[in-house]
Amino acid sequence: MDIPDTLFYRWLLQVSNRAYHLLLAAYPSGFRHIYGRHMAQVFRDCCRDAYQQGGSMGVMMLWLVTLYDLGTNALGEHISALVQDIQEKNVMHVLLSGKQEQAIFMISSQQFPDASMFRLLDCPCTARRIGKPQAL
Amino acid sequence: MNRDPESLLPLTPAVFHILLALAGSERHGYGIMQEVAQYTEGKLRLGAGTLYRSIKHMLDEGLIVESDERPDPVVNNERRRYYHLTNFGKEVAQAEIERLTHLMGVAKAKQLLLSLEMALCI
Repeated sequence: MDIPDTLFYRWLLQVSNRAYHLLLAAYPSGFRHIYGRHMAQVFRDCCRDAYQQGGSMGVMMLWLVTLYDLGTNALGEHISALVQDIQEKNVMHVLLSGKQEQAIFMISSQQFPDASMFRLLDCPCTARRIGKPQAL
Repeated sequence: MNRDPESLLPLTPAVFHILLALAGSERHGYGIMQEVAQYTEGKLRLGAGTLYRSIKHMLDEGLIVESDERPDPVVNNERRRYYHLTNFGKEVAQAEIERLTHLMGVAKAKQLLLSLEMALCI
């Protein structure tokens, strides 16, 4: 089914897309940087489908679902980022106190997506203070 | 080091559906959404947030990997990032299916499945 290319349709899509772009700010910046563009792209496709299937009422329903989805997932992502930050700080604290073996154990027993801890260990500031750990 | 697929079970519904959607062919985010909506007959529609949080988790766990970014001529000509299953992802999906099959067996033994079938007949 073809979408009627009316002024109202174009206006509704434009406003919805702009509003969604603004609401993406609710996600942590790291997550938004990697996935924000793709999420906005998917939302635009969903908007087009919703209008095709249910007109402006369809877009309203999509917004209700989207707001719930955004609220729960943005909160969940903030909590995940916070937990990871605390774990990294704990390992950093142990490293700076010179207990490298304990830090290696902590890194291997905890999950650090994208090997973020290894990037932390490569940081010149950390390397200078603790000496670059060869075992890692 | 080989990881035990069962260490990730039970999967969340979103992760399991994404694994099912990616079985057979690689897809982009919107393609995954469409596939899930199609085989669940529209009963499950993943939101963009749920979809990409699950994708992030699955990339971290090594269940899926990113393919190249290219346009999908069927949807429009925007560039999209494609994802496909890894061997470990397939193993985890199979382990989850076995877990669910076992639960179905338990439900059948307790005659819960039978009453459900009868209810559906009425």
